[in-house]
Amino acid sequence: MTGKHLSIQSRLTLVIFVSFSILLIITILAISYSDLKAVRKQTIDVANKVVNVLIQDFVRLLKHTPQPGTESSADIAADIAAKLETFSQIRQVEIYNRRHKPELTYVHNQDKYTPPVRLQQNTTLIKDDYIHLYLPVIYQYNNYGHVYLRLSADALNSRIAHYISNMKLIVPVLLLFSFIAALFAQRFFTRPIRQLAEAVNQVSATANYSVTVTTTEKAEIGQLFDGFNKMLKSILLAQRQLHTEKERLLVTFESIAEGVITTDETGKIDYINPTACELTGWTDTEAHSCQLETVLCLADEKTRRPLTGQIDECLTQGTTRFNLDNVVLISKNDKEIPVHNSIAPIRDAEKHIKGVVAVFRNVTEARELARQLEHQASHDALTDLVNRSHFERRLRAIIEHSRRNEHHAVLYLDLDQFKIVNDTCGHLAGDAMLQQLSGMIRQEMDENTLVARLGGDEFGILLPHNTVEQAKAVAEKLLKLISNFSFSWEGKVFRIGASIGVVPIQYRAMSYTDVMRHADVACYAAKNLGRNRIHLYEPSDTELSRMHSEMQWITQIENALNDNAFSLFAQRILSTSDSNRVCRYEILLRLIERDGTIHFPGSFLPAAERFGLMPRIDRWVITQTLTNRHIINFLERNEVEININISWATLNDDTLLGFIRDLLQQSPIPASAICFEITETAAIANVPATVRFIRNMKLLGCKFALDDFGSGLSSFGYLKNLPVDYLKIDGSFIRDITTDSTNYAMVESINHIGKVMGLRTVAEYVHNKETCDQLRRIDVDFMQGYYVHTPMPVSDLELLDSLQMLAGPSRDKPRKGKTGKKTTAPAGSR
Amino acid sequence: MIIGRIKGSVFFLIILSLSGCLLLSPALYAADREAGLRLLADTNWLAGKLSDRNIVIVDVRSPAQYRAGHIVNAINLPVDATFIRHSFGNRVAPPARIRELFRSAGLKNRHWVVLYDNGLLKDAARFYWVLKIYGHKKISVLDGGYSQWLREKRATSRKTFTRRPSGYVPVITHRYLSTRFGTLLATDNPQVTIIDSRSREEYLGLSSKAKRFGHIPRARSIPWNMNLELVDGLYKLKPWNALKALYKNLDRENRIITYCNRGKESAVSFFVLSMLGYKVSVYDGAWLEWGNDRSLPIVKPDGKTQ
Repeated sequence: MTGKHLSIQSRLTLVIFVSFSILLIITILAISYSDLKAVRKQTIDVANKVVNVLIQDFVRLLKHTPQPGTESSADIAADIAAKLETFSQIRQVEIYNRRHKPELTYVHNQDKYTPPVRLQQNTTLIKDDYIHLYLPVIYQYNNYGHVYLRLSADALNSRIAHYISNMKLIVPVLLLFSFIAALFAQRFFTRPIRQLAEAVNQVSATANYSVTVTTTEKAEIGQLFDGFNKMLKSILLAQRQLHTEKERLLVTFESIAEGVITTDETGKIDYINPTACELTGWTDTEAHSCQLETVLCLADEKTRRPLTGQIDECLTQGTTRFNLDNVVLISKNDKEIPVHNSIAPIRDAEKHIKGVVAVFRNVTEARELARQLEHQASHDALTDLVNRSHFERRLRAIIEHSRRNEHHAVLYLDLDQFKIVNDTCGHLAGDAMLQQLSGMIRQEMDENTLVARLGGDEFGILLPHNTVEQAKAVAEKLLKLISNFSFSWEGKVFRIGASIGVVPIQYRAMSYTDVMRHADVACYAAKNLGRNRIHLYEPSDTELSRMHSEMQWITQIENALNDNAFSLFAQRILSTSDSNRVCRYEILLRLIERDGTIHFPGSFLPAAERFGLMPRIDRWVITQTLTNRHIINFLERNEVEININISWATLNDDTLLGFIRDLLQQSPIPASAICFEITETAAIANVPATVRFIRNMKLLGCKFALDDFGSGLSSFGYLKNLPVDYLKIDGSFIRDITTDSTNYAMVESINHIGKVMGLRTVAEYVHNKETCDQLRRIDVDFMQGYYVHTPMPVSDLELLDSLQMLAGPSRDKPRKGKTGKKTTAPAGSR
Repeated sequence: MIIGRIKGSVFFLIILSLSGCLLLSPALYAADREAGLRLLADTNWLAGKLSDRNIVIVDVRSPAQYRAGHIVNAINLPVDATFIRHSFGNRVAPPARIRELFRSAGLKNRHWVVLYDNGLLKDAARFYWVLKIYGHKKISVLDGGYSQWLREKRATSRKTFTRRPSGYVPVITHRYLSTRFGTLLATDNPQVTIIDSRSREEYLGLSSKAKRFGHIPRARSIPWNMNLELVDGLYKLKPWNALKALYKNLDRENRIITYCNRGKESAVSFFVLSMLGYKVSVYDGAWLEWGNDRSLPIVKPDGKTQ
């Protein structure tokens, strides 16, 4: 049994008792010892005295010569013996002469004679209950021999026995006394501790922390009590605070629009807020202690497959999970509610997982809005057919995924004489006719067929799993349909025709650009051959279509990409506030022919977009920008941010991210100096893909600007979902800002909303001083335009750098001299 | 406090020693008294003990007598060797002398010594007394002595019998030896009885071996030969009851000092009184010392003390 099982009282008692007893016993022993020593000394003293007294007799015996009138030796010996006998402690005496011969042997009474112990003179020995000693017989400076004495240690022994018998009586009394003393001392010393222990018991039993303990003690005990009181007080305070916090948290949870469910470490629900109840269809009491997975039943929106394992993963590995897309909550009554949800671990102070918290929000409206946006982005507003971008995506997918034995075809349909309708009856009539016709065409086509409006009166029809013959049949059916279609408008009846180019998609032989070009060529050939007919693409058609302007651009762009005939220009974006010292430049693209003719993007980008060359162009621009010597040098010396445009077609490219990342790693230009511009229309064409791209690029440090904002659908709804940094207000609003009050109001509100959302705003197309002043009034953050800065070749940036160094602080002044130069309006970018 | 204790212990010690003296002394006499009958050995008993290893038979007669014949296995230790003859009287030999004598005779402290003389007891008693003085414990005296032995025709020998030398230690026992001073004190002490073993004439001062005539004050006359009786021409001790009657007037609690002229006659008285259990000693200086020392008081023939 170790001392750890004993209470402090017992221990203290024991310690005091033992030490007290030891002290007492030591005292007794010390007294006894000194006493016994004294007794022994006395005994020896007696012997010494006896010898001194008898010394004359000894000498008489040793020097005896028989004479008349004197005693005989035996008389003297007897005399000595008689004298010695009175000292009972002297048990044996032997007197030796100078030759060490014994002259007298005396033994007290009936004692047995024992041979003397050999000893040095003047020393004593205690042996066998006797004290042995030798003393010299010296009388008047003559040594006559020596005497051996054996003294009884009886006195000593009886003394010891006496002590022992006394001890037998005293020790128990002492022990009892010391025990009682220890008991009292212990009770006295432990009183505060017992008091404290009692208080602790009381507190732990009743959980009542408003207890206080009092003591008159100072020093450690006082400190202990004070500390205990303080501790209790702080616990009480903390408890109250905790309670308040809990209340606050609960009230918050009860009132927020998000559903919140928390669980313990086994995944059992311990809290569910009203919103969560409402969404899941479970009541508070039902859900309590249920497994979270039972109540919060999440499934994939499309596959309807339940999402399992996330909660377990969170509980075991502590991973936080966000489900932002395509997740529905299946409520108790099997209703599907689109939700955003997150599952995060709850950790205690030691970082151990103590449960999970699931937060989810009803995003029915948001998702509906997103769906609408997506629809709007991929569909033509007028005819509700899919638009070019969607068509391109589908066609690219088909090209990419087609297999050897699969046959697909594309029809390219161009209405003949459509212009007549527009010209004679106006746009409204044309629009109405297009609507009617579109509806008709779509009705005729089966479900797998994709009908898209590619441009004004151009339609693309994708026929998956159709052979050339089947495609031709469809085309003929269409041609017949259109031929039979008559459109009446204000009494006038119009009949129209169509030219249809048919292109079979060959397995792995054609790019999107090829397909579209072939379709275009075939359609052109059909038109050329006399309209209202079908033409199957033939390679010889290409020659024919050489004159076709867009066709020209394609070859020119391809050549330019191959020969690096493109050139990068930079246009400064000026900060309206002087505090922002960071210069920003937007990288613009120019196509320079051999003869020096400069083509602005407005002239070649539509063709590039149409025939899917944008990804290549964008990649070229990004590569050139990040590797351009001039730009790198300029950036090294100045605090500059570079804006680069990315088109929607490029955004859809999944490999773009890796491509940019690799480039950034190799380039000395930091990612934070790069800002990508994405047009509003491009962004909303595929919101999830755009968001994903922006998020990933932001992880690298890149920034994002939303370009041409306001030109598209102008819905602020999705702006929330796009994590961009800058908002570039569409140039069409800026251009007329000084004259058109509506535009002014638009710019103002866009600017305001942008600011509210924490975005910096940029105004494009700033062409004169008045516009500039107006914009300053509205407090737009940045301005860009010919009034501010005329784009210049990036090779001149270094020149500018040295100029600025010469010019000093006046470098921010816009150079007016170049503003007057009117060129073909660059479409704000490119 | 400690000093007090020491004082206490001294007191305790004194008490202890005193009580030891008081308790032990009578016990010793009692032991002698019990052994009384055994002090006197008869020939019959001795004949059965001749070859006992623990018994040493000592012939105290002269060497010439010993050589002429002695009890079988007896060694010869003439009584004259135990005292020193001076012109002023015979005195017991000092311890050193006795030590050498007994050692060379091969006597050991543990031996049971049986003494015999020619039967007159004077020599044997004297030897007995010497042994007592030097602390020997077991001693017997043969009643009737060699004369009785011869008469009973028991085994004798002429061969000199010797023993290997021993480590004898004589331990002086003062109570059997009274000194001149002790006797002088006794003349004034009613606790001590002095017995004159000389003849009645000498006691009365009618004759004297010394210069003065008379006896030691307070001495009572019990001549030594009163202890003996003549049986069939041989001297023997009187029977037990006769001896008891002889000394019946003596106070048993008193110490007794016997004296004679030279210390032999008083030894017989000493032997008998010892046998009877009295606390007895012999004044060794005897009348030859006392009678010649004019500084000592005597009772003269006219009854006056001088």
